[in-house]
Amino acid sequence: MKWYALDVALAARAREAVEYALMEAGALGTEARGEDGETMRVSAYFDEPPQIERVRGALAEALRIYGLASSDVRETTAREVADEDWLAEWKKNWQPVETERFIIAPPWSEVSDDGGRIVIRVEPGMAFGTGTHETTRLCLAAIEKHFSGASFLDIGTGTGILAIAAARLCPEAIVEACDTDPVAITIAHENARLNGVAERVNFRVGSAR
Amino acid sequence: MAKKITGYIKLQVPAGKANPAPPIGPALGQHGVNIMEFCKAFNAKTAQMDPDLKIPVVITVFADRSFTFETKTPPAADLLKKAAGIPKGSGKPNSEKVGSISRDKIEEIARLKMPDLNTTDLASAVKTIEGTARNMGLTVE
Repeated sequence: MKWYALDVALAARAREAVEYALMEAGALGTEARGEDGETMRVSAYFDEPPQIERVRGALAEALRIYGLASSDVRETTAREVADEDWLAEWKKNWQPVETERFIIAPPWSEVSDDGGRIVIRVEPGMAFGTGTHETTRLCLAAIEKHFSGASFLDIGTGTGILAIAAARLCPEAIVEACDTDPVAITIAHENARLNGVAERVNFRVGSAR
Repeated sequence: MAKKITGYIKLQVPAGKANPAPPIGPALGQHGVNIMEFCKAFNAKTAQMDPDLKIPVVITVFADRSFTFETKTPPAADLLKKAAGIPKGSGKPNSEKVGSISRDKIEEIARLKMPDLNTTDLASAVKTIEGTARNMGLTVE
């Protein structure tokens, strides 16, 4: 997938107007940078090539609405943004997370199961759930404390971490997991395979309904 | 001891719709921040807001790559459109009015926007919002 960016140099006082205009012109979001009191830059990101005429029209209208001069927008340049693994930098520094019964670790970590705990390998990709967030740690703690088998439903599974934890902790349990994001389900399935429970967790794209 | 700050990231994202695509992915990725953790926290904080509202957010990144974030107020023009129930402003605000808005609503928006308007004077904030409303083709009554 390719992304598109428009970089706008502007007078700092026009920031809200320019951000408003770019979102009106179909931007997914904006990033403001380099504010030095007088001037700054706002970059808008699009999932298809931005229509320059539409952007110009939106900028002119926003400047008029906000009572600003057209000269407050100095320069607009377009560029393409390659799709990358934006998590790469964070992954480099990701340390295993330990709870009472589990160790959550990235696939490349050398952590071992020496203390009798269950090591769960999680490749996060573009999905949520690495054990570093408090909500995930609390859910893992709840599984350790309260889950003794039977059935387990993981809604919004992300990386699949909780479903995998339940399946590893109770080998007889019936585990179902869903997520509305198909990318997350692909990642979750791969993580289940990585942890030897791919056949035991039923992942599907969708909500709980 | 306070953690060392390594940078501030200023984004604008629709309420409840943060995802790892741009602008969030590249902006947070270069600072080594856990993108998915931010997305989940932002979406949880803005889940109750109108998804048409764009929320400015300032993310503070620390040396250990942890972060905190603060949401700001949506653009005045968005708040006015929502309050007046109009899809967009008028291209000819003097001759073609697209709707109306009450003074109470203007004041409500002015109070909400005050922290981001660089003023502590409500009358001045009201004047700014009223001007924006008129420029959008709204009648203030």
